[in-house]
Amino acid sequence: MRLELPAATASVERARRAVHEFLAPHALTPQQVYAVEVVLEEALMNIVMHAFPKPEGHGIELVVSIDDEQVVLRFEDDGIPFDPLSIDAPPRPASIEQAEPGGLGLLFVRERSRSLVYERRDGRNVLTVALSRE
Amino acid sequence: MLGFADRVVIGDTAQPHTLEKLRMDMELSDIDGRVSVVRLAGRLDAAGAERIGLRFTAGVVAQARPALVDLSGVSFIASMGIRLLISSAKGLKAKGATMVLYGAQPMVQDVLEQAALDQILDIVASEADALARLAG
Repeated sequence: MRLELPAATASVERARRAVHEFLAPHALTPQQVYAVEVVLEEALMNIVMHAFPKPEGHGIELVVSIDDEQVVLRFEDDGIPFDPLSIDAPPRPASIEQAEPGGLGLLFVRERSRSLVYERRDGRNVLTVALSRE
Repeated sequence: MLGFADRVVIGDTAQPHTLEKLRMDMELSDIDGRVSVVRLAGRLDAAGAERIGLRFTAGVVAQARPALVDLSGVSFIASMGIRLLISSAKGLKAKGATMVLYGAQPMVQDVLEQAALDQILDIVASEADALARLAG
């Protein structure tokens, strides 16, 4: 499936519904569905918040495919070059006073993906996330 | 049962039980004016965190008293929801009070643990456990 989305928070819910419908015949486990939702939320919000100094008029392309082994989600945008994989995971805080709220999105995506690839291709950011069905 | 004064219900409450609750709801109460109790229901995603953020912060941090947060109605959480919990817990701690989370569903609990939230906050199973943790 392929979806064009505006760069806005509301796009996450729109994408989630479309992806649910697309994946419904494939009987994923609740854990796999949750993992897909985490990846959708984190990857899309990362683009919405960081890719465009002015998001108006910019879009995100989402392509989802599935086979027996994996679900693959590809996110493309024409925003500023940004490799989310270059960001280090936040250090584990020793106390609530030291905790920095933020930087967890990529950690959650990494934890749930079997492969995670970023490319800058033809002036576009392309993030491809594969989730195992096993 | 606990006496809930100052009960405020925010958001839509007439959702069919068969459907997953999509919009984030927040219900704020207190126990004898000494402990804040916040019950969350729905998806604590970016949109949900945005929807309740200010009210959650006002209900938890501004009260400057211990807070219990009931996550049993939360079906989904990701980084923006965690961010709200961390910033509020941090704000409350700066005022000398603690926040205890309880009742998280298994997949929500997994996310909390991946964020190492269980290392820096009390996360327990039930309201009774949460009250015991505050007392202890």
